[in-house]
Amino acid sequence: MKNYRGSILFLAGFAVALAAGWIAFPKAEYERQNQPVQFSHKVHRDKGGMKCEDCHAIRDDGTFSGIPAVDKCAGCHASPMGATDEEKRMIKRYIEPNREIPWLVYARQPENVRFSHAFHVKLAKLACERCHQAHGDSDALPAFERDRVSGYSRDILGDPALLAASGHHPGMEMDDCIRCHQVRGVQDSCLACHK
Amino acid sequence: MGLGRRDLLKLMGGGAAGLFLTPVPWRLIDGVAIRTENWPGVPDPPRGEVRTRYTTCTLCPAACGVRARSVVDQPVSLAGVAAHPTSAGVLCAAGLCGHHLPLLPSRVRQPLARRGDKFQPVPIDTVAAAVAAALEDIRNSGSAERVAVLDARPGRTASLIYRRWLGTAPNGIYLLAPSADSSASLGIDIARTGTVLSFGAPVLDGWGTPGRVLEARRSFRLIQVETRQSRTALLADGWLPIRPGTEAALALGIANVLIAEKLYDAAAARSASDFAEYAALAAEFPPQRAAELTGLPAQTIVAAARDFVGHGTAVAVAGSDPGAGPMGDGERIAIAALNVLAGSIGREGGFLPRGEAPRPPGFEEAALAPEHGIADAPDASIRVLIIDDARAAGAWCWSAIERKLARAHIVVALTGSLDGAARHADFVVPAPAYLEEVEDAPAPPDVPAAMFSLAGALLKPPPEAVDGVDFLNRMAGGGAALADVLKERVAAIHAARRGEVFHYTDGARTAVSDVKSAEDLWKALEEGGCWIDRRPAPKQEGRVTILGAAADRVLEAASGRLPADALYPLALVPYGWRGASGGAVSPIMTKLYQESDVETGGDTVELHPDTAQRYGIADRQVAIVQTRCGSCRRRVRVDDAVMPGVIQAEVGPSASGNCRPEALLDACGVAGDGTWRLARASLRRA
Repeated sequence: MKNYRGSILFLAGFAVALAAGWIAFPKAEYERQNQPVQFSHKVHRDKGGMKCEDCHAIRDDGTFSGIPAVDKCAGCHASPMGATDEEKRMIKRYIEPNREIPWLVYARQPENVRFSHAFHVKLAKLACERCHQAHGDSDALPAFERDRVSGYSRDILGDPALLAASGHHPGMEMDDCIRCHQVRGVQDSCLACHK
Repeated sequence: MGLGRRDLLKLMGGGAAGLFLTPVPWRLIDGVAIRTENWPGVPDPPRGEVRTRYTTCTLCPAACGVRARSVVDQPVSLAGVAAHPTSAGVLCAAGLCGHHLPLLPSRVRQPLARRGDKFQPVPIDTVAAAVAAALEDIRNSGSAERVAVLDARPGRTASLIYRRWLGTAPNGIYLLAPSADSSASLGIDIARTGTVLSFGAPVLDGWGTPGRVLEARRSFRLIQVETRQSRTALLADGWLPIRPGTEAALALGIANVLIAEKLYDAAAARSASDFAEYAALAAEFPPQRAAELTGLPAQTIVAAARDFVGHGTAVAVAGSDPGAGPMGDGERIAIAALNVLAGSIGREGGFLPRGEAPRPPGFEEAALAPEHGIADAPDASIRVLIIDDARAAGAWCWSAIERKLARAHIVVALTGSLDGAARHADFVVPAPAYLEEVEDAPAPPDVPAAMFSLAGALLKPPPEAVDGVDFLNRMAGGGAALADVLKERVAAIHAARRGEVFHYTDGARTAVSDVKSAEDLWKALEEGGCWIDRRPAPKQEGRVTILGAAADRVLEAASGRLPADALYPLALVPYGWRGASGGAVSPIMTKLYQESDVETGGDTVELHPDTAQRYGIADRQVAIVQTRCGSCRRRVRVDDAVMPGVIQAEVGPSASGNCRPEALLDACGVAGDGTWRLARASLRRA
């Protein structure tokens, strides 16, 4: 038994490390935060009759409007639309004091990158769902997961399970951008994104 | 059964081995690498409204339209303006990185005065008072010493103000910086050109207005005459690799063939008053003699001459290298004469006479000091020299300027960064950097119509910044600000009611006659726009002279620039890149060039393998380049593309990002005509 003691300890350490690395680490790597307001794209589309472009439009000059400011929300939500607590809370916290909602943006690019929605949507004719999945069908916003080390968002939508179905996992890292550019045979020089 | 030290080590060893088979180390490395790109200390523009603003690039005379993506007020990326009438949506490498220039570490942020080898901060009034006192001294003493402004970007409204001020200053002389184009009265109609015969001009590497030239490239043939296998030479339809300094000999050799085979435009030749004298000079350079001088086969010269005039309107252009400075007058005249033979002056596709944007009252030509090259100023004559905007000037050989300075002199450099000529100044005045001031850009030299663009300020200059006109006003105790004179000029354009305005924002064009007021025109230009005059109708010039009084200079240039020298058997040929030689450059420009380009740089010279072997120097070794005027240390790169017997020396930023070409340029020495393109040199291993 004495002869095997060292090997057992080695294997025990090996097994613990494997378990920690494959099971615990992925959970610990990201911190999860809920969005400040539980927003339902589905309700706005189905009941509000809104289109994606009403809030997420590419302007005439090519810039992307991104997430609308609270003014846009106040256009309809000046007073509560419905009786949910979430609705009342949003109006009290953000609409009435005219305070911007601190959305946690899944796809916010770092300052050293220039990403143009106009190039990708208008020129390359990529559907929004290609990267963001069918966000417009969602009834709730997934938790925002931030990498504790890099500070990046985990995914540009947030839920890898949804993205697995697409066969491609668009994330926030440069490799994700390059992979897609190479697959599509488009330029991937440094200055294409780092101006 | 407790855990001993060995047990613990084995447990940890197993843990460490297991960890490497998990994502942990790789994810941590990746995460830390990303974190370093965004951690505190990395300059980030503020978050806020993203806007698109427009301006005009003033880093060189091309005056390209610029679309700036700005976060709040900070430009974060620059791009060209699609459908711009001249730049056609293109920006060169320097233009793409222009928004970095105000952030460079070499940025001058306060007035400086030289104290020995160092600069010390001084109040701006001290600088103005020192210059004003020198001017007063010249005026009172009746001295013949001169007051000069060396203008790196002639043709601007600020240039007119300088010239008017020099017209009243004691012995004022207005000097064009080396390699700066004068406010030329001819533009090239390159969209309709059939053949371009380029003597060293980097036609496909940033020459003229890059977007316009690249757009027209499909329609013209390009024959490149150049010792060096430049990028333009590689992309040309034909490359004539001549020996260094034999451009004039080749030009006269081609002229000889054109005249002998009667391939020239007889009507144009008849309009030249000294055609007979020119033909006699060309007769001294039959293909065989030109071949001996240039190193090209005689039949190649004959074929080049036939090719030159065989594909529609042909133009011959002489290049000013961004690193090596201008060509001599002899070469320029010999090359320009080919345009007379080809009949391209005043013809569609050739050189068309153009006017300029209307000037405000008080700026008539008679009221202004005339333009001169540096060589025109007598040696040791300049008491006060004001250098405006060294950033646009490329590399200067300081000794060409220094020899013009009087024994007691004051040199004032108005510059955004402490580079190039500014390092030799007695006073440095912090000028607004690129994008920080409202200024104008005249028509690029290769455009056949008059143009006027406003470069609106996208950034606020630092409070200490003083532009050239403001500096003159401080000395004179008052005067109109540059912005006010620019408004007067825009009013003059509006009053002339000709031409049209191109709007950068939407690509629309509005006739000036439809613009309601001068204020509206100013607003349209300041928000991003340029005024374009009517295209001039082709018109043959009246009587012209080809050689003028310069026949001797042409003959001298054609007989060979480099006499044999047993002690210095090699030819030293400096060269540079537009936007990267002599002035401040953005480090990110290195990402725009091929790796092989980055490997060479301001600290290297290139040799043919045979030359390197003869001198016992291997690739990457350090060598001393010695000339009769000086020496410099450079790392050697061995390259088959270099002509045997030639040392190619790049004037530009080195791998370290510095750009200090003075030692190399001073070693080249300044010829009598104020050029430093060539020198005899020797080489030894360091």
